[in-house]
Amino acid sequence: MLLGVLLLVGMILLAYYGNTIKHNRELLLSMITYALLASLTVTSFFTMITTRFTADMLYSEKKDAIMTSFYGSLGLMLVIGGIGYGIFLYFAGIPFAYQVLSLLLFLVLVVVWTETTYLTAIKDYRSILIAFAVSLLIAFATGFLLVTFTEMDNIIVLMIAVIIGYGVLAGWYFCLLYKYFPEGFGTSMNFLRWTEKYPALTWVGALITFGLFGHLIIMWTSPLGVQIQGLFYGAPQYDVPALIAFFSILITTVNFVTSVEVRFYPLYKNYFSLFNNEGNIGDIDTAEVNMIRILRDELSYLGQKQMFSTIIFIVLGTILIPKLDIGFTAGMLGMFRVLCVGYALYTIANSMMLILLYFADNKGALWSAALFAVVTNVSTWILKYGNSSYYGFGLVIGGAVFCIAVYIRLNIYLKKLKYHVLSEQPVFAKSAEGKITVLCDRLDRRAIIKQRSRRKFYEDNIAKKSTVDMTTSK
Amino acid sequence: MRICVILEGCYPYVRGGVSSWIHNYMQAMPQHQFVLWVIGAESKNRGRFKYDLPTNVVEINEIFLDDAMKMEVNKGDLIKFSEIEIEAHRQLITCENPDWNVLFRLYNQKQIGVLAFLMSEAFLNILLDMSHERYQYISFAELFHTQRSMLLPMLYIMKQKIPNADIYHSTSTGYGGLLGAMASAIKKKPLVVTEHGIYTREREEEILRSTWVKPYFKQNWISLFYMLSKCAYFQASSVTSLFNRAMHIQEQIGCPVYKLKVIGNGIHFRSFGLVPDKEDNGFIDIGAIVRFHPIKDLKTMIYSFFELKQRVQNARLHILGDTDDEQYYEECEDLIKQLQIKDVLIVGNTNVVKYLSQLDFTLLTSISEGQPLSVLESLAARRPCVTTDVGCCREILEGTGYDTMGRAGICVPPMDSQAIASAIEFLCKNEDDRKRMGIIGQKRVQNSFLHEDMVKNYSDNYEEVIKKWQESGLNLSVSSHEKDLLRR
Repeated sequence: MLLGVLLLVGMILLAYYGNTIKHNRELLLSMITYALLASLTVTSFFTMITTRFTADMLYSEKKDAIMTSFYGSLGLMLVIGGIGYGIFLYFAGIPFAYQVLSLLLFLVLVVVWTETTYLTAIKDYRSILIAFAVSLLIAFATGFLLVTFTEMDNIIVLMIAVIIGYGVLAGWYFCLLYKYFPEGFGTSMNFLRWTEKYPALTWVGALITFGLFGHLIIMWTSPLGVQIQGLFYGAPQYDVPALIAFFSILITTVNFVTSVEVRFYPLYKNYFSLFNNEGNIGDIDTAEVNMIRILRDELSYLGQKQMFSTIIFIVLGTILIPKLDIGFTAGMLGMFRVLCVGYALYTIANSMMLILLYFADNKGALWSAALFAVVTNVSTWILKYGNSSYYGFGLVIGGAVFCIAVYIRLNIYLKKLKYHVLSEQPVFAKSAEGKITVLCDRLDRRAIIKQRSRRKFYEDNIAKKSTVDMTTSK
Repeated sequence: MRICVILEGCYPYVRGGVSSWIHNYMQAMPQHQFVLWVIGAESKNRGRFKYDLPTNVVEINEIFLDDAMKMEVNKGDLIKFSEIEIEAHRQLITCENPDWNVLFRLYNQKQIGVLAFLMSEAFLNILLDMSHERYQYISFAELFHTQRSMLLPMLYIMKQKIPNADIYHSTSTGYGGLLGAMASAIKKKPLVVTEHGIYTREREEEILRSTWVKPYFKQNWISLFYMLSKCAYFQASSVTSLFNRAMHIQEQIGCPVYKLKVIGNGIHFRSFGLVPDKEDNGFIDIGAIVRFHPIKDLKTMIYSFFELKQRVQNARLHILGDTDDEQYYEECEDLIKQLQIKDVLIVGNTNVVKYLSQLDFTLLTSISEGQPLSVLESLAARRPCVTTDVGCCREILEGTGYDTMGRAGICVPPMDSQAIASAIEFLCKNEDDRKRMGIIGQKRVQNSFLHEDMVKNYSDNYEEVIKKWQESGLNLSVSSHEKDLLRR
């Protein structure tokens, strides 16, 4: 999401640079925002499932199942999302060229978000960042050149620049994936079994997305909302502060990966390996104490760092944003400050929720994500009718409730960790036999037969032919 | 009288000593109704009986231990246990002295979920304490899963519906004894326990020999079976065994002395007594009336016969009996082929009375026995025996107390193929001794091991037990511990 917001802010700045009229700037902002939100919503239903599927396949050393799941999940999202978003765009009331570009942007974003999910599962953050930085530069450069040296419609050129930027990113990420994972075997729909195995996970990602972005959409229906064009609505006085405030959580997003996961993950892995590799009760108790101690320390540091960064961001933002001369009113500054706090609470809670998922407390994650989604959106809905000084507090209340809920849940869960690790496991291993699993079994069998016959055909004909050709040429 | 007979791992699925015994036993008591409560390992054997049930068997209730794997957890199963209930479970898990009435009430009367307990915090907490106290250096996950597999069959059978009867008669301790104790406690009816072999000792030997049980858990498994034996002994009104040595072992395990009684086996003497002498066919025909099961140690028998064939070329070995263990049967067949032994005939299930006329003497090389009916039947037909010195084989072959008739066979150490081969060789080469031993054996069986005497003894025992039960007024809701305290 941060990638998308950075690119969006960059394009807005380029739009200002290109002297784009206000209406077109707002339409551009709205089109990119809609594409971002729509793509994040569609992918959010699959993110947690594909992450868990990939992690499980890596653990059981079945790497050949991963690329097929990538193709399968991507295919489903592109088809379902593409049709849905395409229909929306058809009735959106914008020119055909804009419709095509919006749809292209949506599809490319779906590809990028899906690839990111798989790459983060293997924890190659360095490659992700390098590719992103280069793509960002290409997008900005393309945008700058097109705006400067062409007379084309600025919306079109900037949309093209964004699509090129994300397109480069998509291609780069695909190469990285291909480098890590072998060619797949079996049906590409195998990952869908995990929706039956872990039904809660399907909804966790979607609920977080609803909570995180629902308040933006609700504010489009508030007194601040404007109809930009056709079905494109916005509330620039709320959207822009929200987008800028979103950057304040960058520190936690990075810190979670570089500190929390780096320090916590080895202890977590060691703890669980003691159950698999004959650890005695003394070792398990010691490992548990150490792991929980480090986790509490890291989450505490994370919270402190986030709060500190939020304060700095608010202070600096209050001083610097008015100097940018981009039409920031006092009211918008107020919303910016409130939303900084809201996002801070969200990101701290989200980090704790990710830890719950580490411990496979899918139900706990689901309930806390649901609370976040419901409370944020309901509060925003109620407050939109009130004084404008309360705008943004919906996210604060939702974030606070999310924080408290997940904190309590994590504490309760960790107190009975051995119970969750051992006792909750079924006495007998039983495989899920729902309709989706049965369908996947059938598709798997068919896919394997086809792949085997294709491989045999290659071995019998093409490999033989090339041997004959080589012999003849000699 | 309605008698519920509880059987584990034998009748009516397996042909063998105990199965034949109970089959003849029920037929010999047509005045009583019998209800069978049988425990088997695999549900695929449901209804597949190797015997035509006697007409006075009015009901049969089958329990299969693999059906425990079909249990499911229901949300309503989750229960919060009281302190007393947790303590009963703790003592069950540590194989000490649980309050069985509490457990029977929970699992049989309240029908609480077995899986719910095995997935509960109470179970985990007990294991954590146990691990800190006794298994600090053992894999905790392994302890956890081992305890689950130990408790699962026990708790599963405790949930079974108890058939109605006037008296319950378990033919073993172990799971059969547990069912009998539970039925007696809940239905407030007397329990009789009869042990043919000493179940606890047999399990102990199996576990000590096994490779699938980790060494540090072997004592735990053995303690489990001792605990089940004590449960049956304490609830029972009468505990019978086949011979004195077995009775002393029961006492050592913990059965109160006043309950103990010896009631020996008996056979239908007439049919075996009329078996004619074998006609001379130039061979020495040795019979082994055994089923293919590791406890019968047919591999030692085969090695012994291989050794014998070097010394007695005209010897033939006839193995009569069913196959209990398919894998063991194939291993024995492979061994015979590997040693290239000739003259081993695997006859399978057959009419033993008729076949005995073709045999000179019989052989039994078991690792563990009680009072083997096959030896009594062989002696009744004037065929002496070579047996291993297990159970009361020595008593049968050499006599005890006032019986000074002499030897009816040769007793050798178990698993000693050389000694067995030498004993067989003696009988092969000494026809006069063989015939003399055969006559002694027949007389001994006629004096002490008649079926009619055995049936009368058991029948009298039932009446005595019921009479005492009614007179003592101990058919009220009193725990087994309290009953013993009252009696003392």
